[in-house]
Amino acid sequence: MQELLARIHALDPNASHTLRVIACFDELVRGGVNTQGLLGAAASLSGCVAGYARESPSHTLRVAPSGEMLPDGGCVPPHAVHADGLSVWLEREGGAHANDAMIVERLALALAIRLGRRAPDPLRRLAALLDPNTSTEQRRLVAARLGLASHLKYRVVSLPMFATWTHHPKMVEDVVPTRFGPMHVGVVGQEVEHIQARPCGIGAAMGGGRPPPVVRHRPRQPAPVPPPEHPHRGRR
Amino acid sequence: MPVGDHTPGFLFGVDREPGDRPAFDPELRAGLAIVGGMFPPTITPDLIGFMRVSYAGPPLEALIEGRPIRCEDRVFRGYRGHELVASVFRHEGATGLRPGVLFVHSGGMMFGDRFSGLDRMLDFVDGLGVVLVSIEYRLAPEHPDPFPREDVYAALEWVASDAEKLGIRLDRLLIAGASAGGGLAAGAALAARDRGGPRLCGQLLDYPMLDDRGVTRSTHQFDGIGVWDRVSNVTGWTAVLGEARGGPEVSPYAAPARATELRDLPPAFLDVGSAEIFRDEAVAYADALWNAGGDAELHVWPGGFHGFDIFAPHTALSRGMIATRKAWLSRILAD
Repeated sequence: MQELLARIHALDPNASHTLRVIACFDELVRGGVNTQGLLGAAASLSGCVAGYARESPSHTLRVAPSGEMLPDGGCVPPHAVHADGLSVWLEREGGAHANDAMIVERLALALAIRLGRRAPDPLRRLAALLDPNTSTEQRRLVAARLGLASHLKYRVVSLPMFATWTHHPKMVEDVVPTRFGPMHVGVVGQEVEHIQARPCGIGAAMGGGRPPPVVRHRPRQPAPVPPPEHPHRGRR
Repeated sequence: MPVGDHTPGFLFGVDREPGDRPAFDPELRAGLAIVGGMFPPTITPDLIGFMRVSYAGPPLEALIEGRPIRCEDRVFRGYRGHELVASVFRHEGATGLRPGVLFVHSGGMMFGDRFSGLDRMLDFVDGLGVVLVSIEYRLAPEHPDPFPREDVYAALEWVASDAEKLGIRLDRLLIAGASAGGGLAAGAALAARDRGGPRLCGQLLDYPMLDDRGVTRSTHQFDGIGVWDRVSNVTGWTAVLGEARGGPEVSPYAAPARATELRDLPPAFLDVGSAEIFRDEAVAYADALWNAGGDAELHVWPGGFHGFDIFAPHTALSRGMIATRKAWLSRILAD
């Protein structure tokens, strides 16, 4: 099994690996995946053994990139990250790879939530900004924290995780859970009308704490009847 | 998201999976966030070139590194005598004649090669000492039907006639395939029966692509989501069958769901995810085999997307699928 992120990188060097790692662990936490599954994902992403140890009650678990449990190695490696009473690590031979720190950080957070040592992540800021259930007052507050001005208008940009970028501008961005799975979402000034990525959707300019722009999506197919063909559906 | 015929709706907000299709398994959802870029859900004809790069098999060295396996390439004659390559994998310690598996790779009949998705098949060389023959076959749209299926059938005849040279026991020869390769393997098993060809001891059909008609409920449940959606399937079958797709003239060897006579076939193993378009056709094929008095084992893995064991082999669901498949193969092939 090759390192997953290395394979993705070879195909698309511009892909946003950080956001993919965040989206991956968001989904694991939302899905209530157990510690073996969390460690297995980290091991598969990085291509090396992932492990964690805790005290009271004492427990160590090491998982291979294949997802299989390994015997307890006996000691916590010196480079382990410590948080919430847990030690978390990747058993990388040689120097750390570019995404190792991010993988360990998200793994540690996910383990702490799974083990009840930390409250489940509330909606992160961008998700809260766009959630239709957020009140106007709360939305204004979140917008201010994200550095968005109340007198300006902004557009919401949304892309699937697999979108390819020609040019990736600086913007407020995150992964946001949706009913279609995690989406890569950004907020840009109203003057930005086009994003050099595909597939990509961009909404109408809105501001002033108004509800999030309605983002258009296709209705689902109603019935198992052969529909007319749209060979380029889902892409543009 | 194309322009036109849209209804507005909220995209954002934490909510549930729509109720009209099975949700993806949580570990697999996480995997999709990573691998979606290698295998976009919707494959249109303009993406065939990208997929041929993206879905190319890993280098041979990476496949057999650390395994006690030797590989040698052979040339066989495909449809109309065209020369094609096969890789033959043997356990280093194997002596004498061994059970043989002819493997037909995945890739929608348009991409992939003899090394695509081969990791799991190599486990059988490691663990059971089988001789694994993984073949190239010509791909659509450049080579439409009958090239892919007749190349596969020619490979089956070649393996059987050269069984001794390949170190294979002719009474323990099995055909296996994944996705498009699963459909081609099922088609070759039908053809071998009808043409008085080699007697197979089993057919291993992993999430097979069996039906060009695209009329099942599951085909319409996964549009623009997961791996290999309805549109991808239209792209694949159109590449293979052209205008004949969905019409009355399609051969059951190309689309085995079309077969009406399913007696006297080798024991079949089918596995598929509940959250993929091939779910209904895999279930229907197993059902048809049972109704014809045949031997079939069917496993539907809850929340599995297409080919999930290839894309996310580390997950609990994948490890279950892989172990279950191996248990069946052991019953049929092990010493």
